[in-house]
Amino acid sequence: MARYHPTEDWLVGYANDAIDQPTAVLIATHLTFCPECRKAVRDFEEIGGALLDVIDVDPADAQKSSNPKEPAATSHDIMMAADDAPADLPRGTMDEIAPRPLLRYVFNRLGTTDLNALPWKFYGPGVQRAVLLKTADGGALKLLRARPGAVFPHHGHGSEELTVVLKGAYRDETGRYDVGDMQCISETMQHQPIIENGGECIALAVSEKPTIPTGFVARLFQRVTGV
Amino acid sequence: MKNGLIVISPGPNERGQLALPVTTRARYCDQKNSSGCISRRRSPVFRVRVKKGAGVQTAPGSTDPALTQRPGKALHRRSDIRTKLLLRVKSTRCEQAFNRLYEYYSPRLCAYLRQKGAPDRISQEVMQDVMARVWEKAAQFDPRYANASTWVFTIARNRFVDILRKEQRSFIDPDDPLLVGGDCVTADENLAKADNRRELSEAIHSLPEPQAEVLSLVYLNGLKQREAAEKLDIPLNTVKSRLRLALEKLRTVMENN
Repeated sequence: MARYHPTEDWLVGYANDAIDQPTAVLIATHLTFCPECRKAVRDFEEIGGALLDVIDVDPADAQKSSNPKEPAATSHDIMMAADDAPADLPRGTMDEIAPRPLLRYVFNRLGTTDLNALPWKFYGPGVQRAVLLKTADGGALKLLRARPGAVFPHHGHGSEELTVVLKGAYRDETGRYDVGDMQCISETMQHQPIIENGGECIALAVSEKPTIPTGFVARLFQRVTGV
Repeated sequence: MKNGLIVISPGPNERGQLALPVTTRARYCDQKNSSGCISRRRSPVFRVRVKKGAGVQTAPGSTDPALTQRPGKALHRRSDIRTKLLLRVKSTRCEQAFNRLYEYYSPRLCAYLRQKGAPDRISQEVMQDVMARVWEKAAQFDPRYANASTWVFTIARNRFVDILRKEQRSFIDPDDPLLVGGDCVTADENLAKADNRRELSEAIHSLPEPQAEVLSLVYLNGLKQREAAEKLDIPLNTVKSRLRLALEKLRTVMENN
């Protein structure tokens, strides 16, 4: 059971669709591991329903129903919009660690559910990174994979960064993060994650802006890897 | 695009008829207030018994047999009128019941979609698409998990993502082998909570205006907290604490602890 959770605003954003898709994938990943946060999302959806009841209404919008069996919507956008039933996912090595929302996203974007087929790149001694999505601002949704005992370069973040552990565990100055745990790292925080011994650690992370290396070695490292 | 005005609409009258809400604005805020305003008026006849439920919108098309079972009688009695109408649509495909739901939700959905930023023409079409789905998917509605308004809200939210953002919503999959903890809510548990759950809408109305304002911007306009802070010209931490306080109050009402 997850012990570290997103703050409420992320869950409200998820319940209201007020967050971008990569972040929603990450939140949904944590939610798969966390019944407590799923309950919170249900409560927020219920508040949404209550707000729908009291929302200010324009009388001009009131209209009688058309035949409910034939929706009047014919716009191309609506017809092309994704239908509800998701396609089946092929089995792959990601099945063991990736909740369905993540699996589906990876398959849709990269056409694979095989962990080893992802675009892994060197990210430091004992650490690899696979970018799933890169944004114009330099932000990214990425998978990080590190061997036991690996130490990340000390760094800060240009924006908030969210991380969910999928396998293994890591520690930093704030605590120990295990499978399902989600860490919100603020813009101003600098930290140095250290992977626990006992197995590799795989985590999903999303940020709006690139990380900021602190210290000469880390800055050099960033120039080398283009992080 | 309208600012986040929340005005209480009259609820169902004694005969259970859903009169269309008469939008009479109570007070307009001072034009100098650049943030827009929330105008609230307590209506003496407004009583909505919000059905307590665990209303997560999980992967659609779920074939859980619980979804097609008739709810218990006691549960049905406690439901609000819209939930009762929806149950009638579910069990008998009653078009009259659906028409009444359409009359109630169509202007509300238009307002909601508009506040989320959909252009007028599109919000009309998306609203009709949502109501068509309400009709098509009524068989999947389970009142143990959500009342009608929560259910309609989640459908509208999902279609907004599908159509206007052209993305796929990241659903939690109830069949996910990695899922921790079930979502089972027994009918008895829900009945107990239904007793405790009172007038969530009343609680919304009794929120202090600064909190209601932030809630409206985040929920109805879909602003991130940072964007709400910019719009209101107040510090981000103020927005965060107002939202937190508002949500705490509302969740307390839902739990009745």
